[in-house]
Amino acid sequence: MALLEVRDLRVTLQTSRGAHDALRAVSFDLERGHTLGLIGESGCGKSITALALMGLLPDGARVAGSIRFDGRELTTLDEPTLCTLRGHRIGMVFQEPMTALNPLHTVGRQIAEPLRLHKGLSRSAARAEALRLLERVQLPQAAQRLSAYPHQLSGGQRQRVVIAIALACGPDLLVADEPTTALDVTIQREVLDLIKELVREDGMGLLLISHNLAVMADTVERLLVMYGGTVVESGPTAAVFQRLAHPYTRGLFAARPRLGLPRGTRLSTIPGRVPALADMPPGCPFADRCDRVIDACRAAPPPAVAVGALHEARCLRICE
Amino acid sequence: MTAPLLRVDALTKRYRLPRHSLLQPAPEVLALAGVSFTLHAGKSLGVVGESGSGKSTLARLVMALEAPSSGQVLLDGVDLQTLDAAALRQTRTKLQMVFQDPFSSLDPRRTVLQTVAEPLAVLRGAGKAEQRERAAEALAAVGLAAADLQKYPHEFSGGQRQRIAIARALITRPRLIVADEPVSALDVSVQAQVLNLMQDLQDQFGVTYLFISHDLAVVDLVCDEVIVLHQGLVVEQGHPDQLFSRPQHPYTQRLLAAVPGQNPAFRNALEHPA
Repeated sequence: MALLEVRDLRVTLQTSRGAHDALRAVSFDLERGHTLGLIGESGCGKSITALALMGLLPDGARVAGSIRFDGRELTTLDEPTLCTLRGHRIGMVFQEPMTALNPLHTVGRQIAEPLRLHKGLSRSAARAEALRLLERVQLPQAAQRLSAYPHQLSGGQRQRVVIAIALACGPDLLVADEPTTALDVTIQREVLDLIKELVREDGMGLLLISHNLAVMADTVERLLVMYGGTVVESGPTAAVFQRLAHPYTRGLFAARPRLGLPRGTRLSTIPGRVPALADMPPGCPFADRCDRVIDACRAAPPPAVAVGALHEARCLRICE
Repeated sequence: MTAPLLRVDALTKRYRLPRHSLLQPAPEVLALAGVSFTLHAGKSLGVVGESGSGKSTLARLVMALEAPSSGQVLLDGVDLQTLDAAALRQTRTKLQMVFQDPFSSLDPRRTVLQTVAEPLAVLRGAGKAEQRERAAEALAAVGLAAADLQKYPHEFSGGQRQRIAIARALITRPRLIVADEPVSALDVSVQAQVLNLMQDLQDQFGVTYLFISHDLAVVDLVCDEVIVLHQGLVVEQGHPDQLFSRPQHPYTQRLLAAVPGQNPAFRNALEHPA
């Protein structure tokens, strides 16, 4: 049994234009000690997937399908029970460390909070553990930093504190939503290396959410490419990049500026834009922007087609 | 060689920090510590560096939004700091700026027409008819329709909003556009559209870009020359091909080493693109 089993997850959100599906039939597994990436652009459903896992969807959202975490169905759990999982068995790291931290509380207190709450540690024991955690995330001068406030730290240092909080209770699953997007490249490298190392040492499952293909290539073993609320391609990271089976994956890949392109090279683009939830077509969500589209694409959502070992794409016109 | 459009000479900027104690002098931070470069008309100069390197301070000084502590910014040989208010206003028609986040750089309560035409109204006192005509031209140049003039920013996607911000910068027919992280808030596929557009506009109108970015690949693509800023100093300067393939300064080397996506599977895929 996998640590996390998501089956046919469907999330319906209330929008100003009525109720519409933000996720349609998303399925994946994540084992302990493994790393999985969700990649896609704004509005593809990657953050909604993370919020659904943690029971943090906006009011009025409806969830269908199944999310099993360590054998337990999460979609039907009540809020008090979810609270005992969040920050305890499931750790979270968000994009913007300044908004994830409380500016009025010291770093030490914020790291100690989940330990006091979930583990019932005493004040002094929690503080000692907080110090150990700060050392583990390699924050320099950890002992002095315990009594620092978030504004006294740099962006990279804050993100280390957020990671320390996420790891405090020794979670089985770490969900990191764009953890390095707000950071400089050199700091990004340090934080990603740290996350990888911690996941390896503790045998956690890592669900990494990012829009950055290169970050994914460096960090995760398995990749799900999302578009319009569906997983359009999934497979081992190296195989996905080698094959680029779905036209969207291929388009995303080709649109990246990359070092070494001659000055003035025109980047290939994907015409049009991501449709709004209310305008999502009945067939393939990418049909209106795809240069390989045929009539059948618009009729019904394409089925998943195997293109390699544990590698599939939802496309009728898979790229050779 | 013709005279440069922009010359920045030994530019420094100090900011005073809050005092720790009444009895001690206020501490200062040196945001720019003597930066010099020249930029010729129709070319693009990239400025790369990390948070706190002085990139955005440099942008504000070039735009004459702030005064330098010492040193000069010369546009067409004229020191912007020597101009009086009226002359500076006149000169500002040659200088425009595009900001990082098109969600906060457009006023949500103003129509696209009001936003795009504002520089004309403010800097030149243009009449309504001229404003509308020129705004429609500017929108056409960035690939939007004249019908969009009556709409509000929330009706557009991020990429379209950045096009509107670029149209607003173009409307005065500027010589120099300072673009501070113009694509870093955009999705990858949209980023490519905006980068292509900025290059087209340069070919078409001969605009000059001071292009500030933390993304080395973006700068490599659109710039003729690059300066690497670190703690307020230019640590390396050169042609992007050479600078990125054979970086000399340890800081540039560190920046390049941190660029993600250097593992073999990803690099091989890069070498055999679709």
